[in-house]
Amino acid sequence: MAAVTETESVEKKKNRLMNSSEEEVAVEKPPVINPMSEDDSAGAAIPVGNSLSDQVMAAAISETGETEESEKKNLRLMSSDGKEVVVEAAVAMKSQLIRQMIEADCAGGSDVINIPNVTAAALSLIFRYCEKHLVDGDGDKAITDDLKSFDEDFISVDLDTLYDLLMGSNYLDVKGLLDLACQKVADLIKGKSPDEIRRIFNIEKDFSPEEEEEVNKENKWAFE
Amino acid sequence: MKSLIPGLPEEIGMECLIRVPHDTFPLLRQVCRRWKKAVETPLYHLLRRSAASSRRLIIFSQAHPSPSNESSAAAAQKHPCSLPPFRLAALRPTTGEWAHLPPIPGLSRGLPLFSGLASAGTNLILVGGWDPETWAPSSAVYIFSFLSGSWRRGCPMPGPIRSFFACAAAPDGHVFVAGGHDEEKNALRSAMVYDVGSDDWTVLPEMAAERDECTGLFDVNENLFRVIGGYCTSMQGMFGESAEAFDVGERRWREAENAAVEDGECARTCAAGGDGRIYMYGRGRRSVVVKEGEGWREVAGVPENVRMASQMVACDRGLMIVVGSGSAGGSQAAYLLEMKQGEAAAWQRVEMPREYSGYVQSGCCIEI
Repeated sequence: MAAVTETESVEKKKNRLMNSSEEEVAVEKPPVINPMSEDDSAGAAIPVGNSLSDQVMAAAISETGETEESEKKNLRLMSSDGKEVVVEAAVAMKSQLIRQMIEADCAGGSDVINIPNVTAAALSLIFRYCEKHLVDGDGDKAITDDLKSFDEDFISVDLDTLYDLLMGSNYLDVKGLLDLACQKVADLIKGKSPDEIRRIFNIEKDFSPEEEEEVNKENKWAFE
Repeated sequence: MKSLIPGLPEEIGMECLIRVPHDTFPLLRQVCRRWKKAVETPLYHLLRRSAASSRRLIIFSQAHPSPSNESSAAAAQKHPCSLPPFRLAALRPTTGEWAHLPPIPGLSRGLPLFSGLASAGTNLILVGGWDPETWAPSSAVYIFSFLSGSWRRGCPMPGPIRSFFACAAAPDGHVFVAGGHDEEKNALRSAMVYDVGSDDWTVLPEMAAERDECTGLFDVNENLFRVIGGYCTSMQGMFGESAEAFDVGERRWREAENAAVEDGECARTCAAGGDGRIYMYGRGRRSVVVKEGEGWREVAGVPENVRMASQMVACDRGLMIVVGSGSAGGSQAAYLLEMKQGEAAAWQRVEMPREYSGYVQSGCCIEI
């Protein structure tokens, strides 16, 4: 899972590194991972997962042999709500937007990437999807079934979170997730009454009485 | 400006709406004006296809299964005046799922017999046919819209009431009719076209030959309405081997061509494949053959139990389905054939559950 840290502690660490002697740096060299701090579960939607280092290791192992420098490192993203999100590059690059940004830059840049449209909580969730989908499972039924099961659970969220996923995956261009989320909305529509649908999606009923009668009549057509 | 789904950009709203199953179209149209309008646009259906959310359905005009053990075709043979009622069944070839479409209101004895059946866009069009009870030929036109999930009447076919005519639709909603015979059993050479959008008929130039019991196909690649086989008044029941094609762009019939059916075969099983080529039963109904140049090439052997009284329906992307029986009056069987680059993969039997085991008189394919 992507780590979400307070911006200050990263700054503090940076200062410490810059000011320390070489030997200290050798020892102090920070692990590439920042542990997730408890207070950031303010957004109730952030799911709890494995420890971040486990997940990064798992992601690293599952990488399909790409050895460019930029693939091994982590990326730092700034969410719309001012939080820094650190994520394994391979995971983040499931977002075509991020991939293009990285590929356009020189490898090894350590700037923070601004994601002004997506909250930290949504980013977390989106990257959780990306990480699971690093493995393609092409043709392997066991993997495909596992992914399908994951997707079903993953997309079973409240409507607000679903909207966040729709907007976030659209902005970041994560096609698989966008398709999954759109399908979920379609699934919510089917089988309901027009009234229920309007209520769920906050849609105003704007048929005139004549129009409404016309549409209803079509469904109950009887020849004279 | 309000969007399709409040809180979401228009494109995303659309991407959600296009993913509903086709039987939800009527529901979408009842939610609000924007949704109703959206589902009626060509863009909606285009996006649906791009997202692989559209589904191909094979639509059959099929008899109710007989109450007893004998097949409906056998029952028909014994008691020709009391055929079981026909209704529309929809098969999803990729999953083998069957469903019934709503009956035509007011037709308590089921669909007209031997009517033309064609699909255009999100509509199914039924043209003419015989009253199931009285066997009186009719000119009625019925249209089933998947958007509203209901039937409506179309403008009846003008001119002499014809039977056993060629009928095929172009994707843009034009339904072509040609030939057949009138109430005096005269073979006809006249032709006309129905426009689903404007609900009217236009008379077309006549064919060169009278063609009773001819078969109609629409060639989407060349924009031609092909009329194959049939016989003239003086040659009752002796099917000819020529064909004519109406060039829609030029609004005229091309010169007739001979050898349009494989040696001596009836053109009934002719189907226009998605690759624009004509397929039919040939080699004494033992094979499916495809027209190549002047001749016919064998594509696949036909399983024995679908060689009689068969229908062949071709979809695009190389899918074909055949329905028929092994012997006169035998029970119905159905098979799928997938063509890949002009070569046939194996036949795949399609299960016909009891409710969908009746005799099939015609079929067409629709993608919605």
